[in-house]
Amino acid sequence: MALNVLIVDDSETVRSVIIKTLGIAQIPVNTIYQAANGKEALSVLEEQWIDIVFADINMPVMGGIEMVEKMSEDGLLKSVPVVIVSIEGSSTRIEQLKKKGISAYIRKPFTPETIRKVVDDIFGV
Amino acid sequence: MLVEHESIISQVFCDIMEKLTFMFGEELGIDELYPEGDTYHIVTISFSGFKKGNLSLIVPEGMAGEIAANVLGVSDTDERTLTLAIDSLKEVVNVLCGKILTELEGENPIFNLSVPEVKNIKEKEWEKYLQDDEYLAFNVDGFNVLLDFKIED
Repeated sequence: MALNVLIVDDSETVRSVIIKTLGIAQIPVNTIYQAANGKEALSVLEEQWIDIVFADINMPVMGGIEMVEKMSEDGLLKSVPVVIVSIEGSSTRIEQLKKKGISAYIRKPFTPETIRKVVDDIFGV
Repeated sequence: MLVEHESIISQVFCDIMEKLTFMFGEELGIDELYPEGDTYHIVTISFSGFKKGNLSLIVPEGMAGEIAANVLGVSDTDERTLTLAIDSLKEVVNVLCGKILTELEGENPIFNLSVPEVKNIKEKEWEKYLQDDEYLAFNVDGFNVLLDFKIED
């Protein structure tokens, strides 16, 4: 199954690195959508079928935590897996995010193997 | 910068440069640095939460493009190395600050990091930073780099 992926980060560099890493990890991708913040991401999610979201926490306009909260309030969007990709090292914050419904957490800098494992775990490969 | 933090910060900096940008750093005495071009970028990020403070990284202008090329995996002449040079530099500072905080304070405290800010300085101003003994000095693949990390009391 090829995935429709949404990458949410205010840094174009990080979005490019995640795209490159998905390729190196040989994750089957159909279409990659990009957003610079949570608000833009919610607009994409309203219009496109997305299989998995990779999102940062700290972003201008709307951060990743608020985006996850808004998604959890939506009957359809709450089932879309969200993977947080961040520099956050706080186990307290990661536990908070898991309670809010994120599927996984990846800490920067990350490897293709890490991304591959997370995607495999989420989709039960 | 607290003296007892210096070796941890130095180690984290070299580790992040290697893993994120594939560039290799070694700590130098600040008196071993020399001017390298006319323009330098100073990138600053602040943090709040469990503790407050900030991190500043000063690099020669030419280094930003090399970081972008390495992070993105493209050639030095690729258009993206120019358009994303500053963005890549900000990302390095972002990751660096997060990693240093975890190494110094552990994995329980919550910190909120600001968006990194970049400004350009000229050689004369850069030389003033050489007098500031709060900064650590590095050679990273031939580039002179200055780094400061402050936690407020």
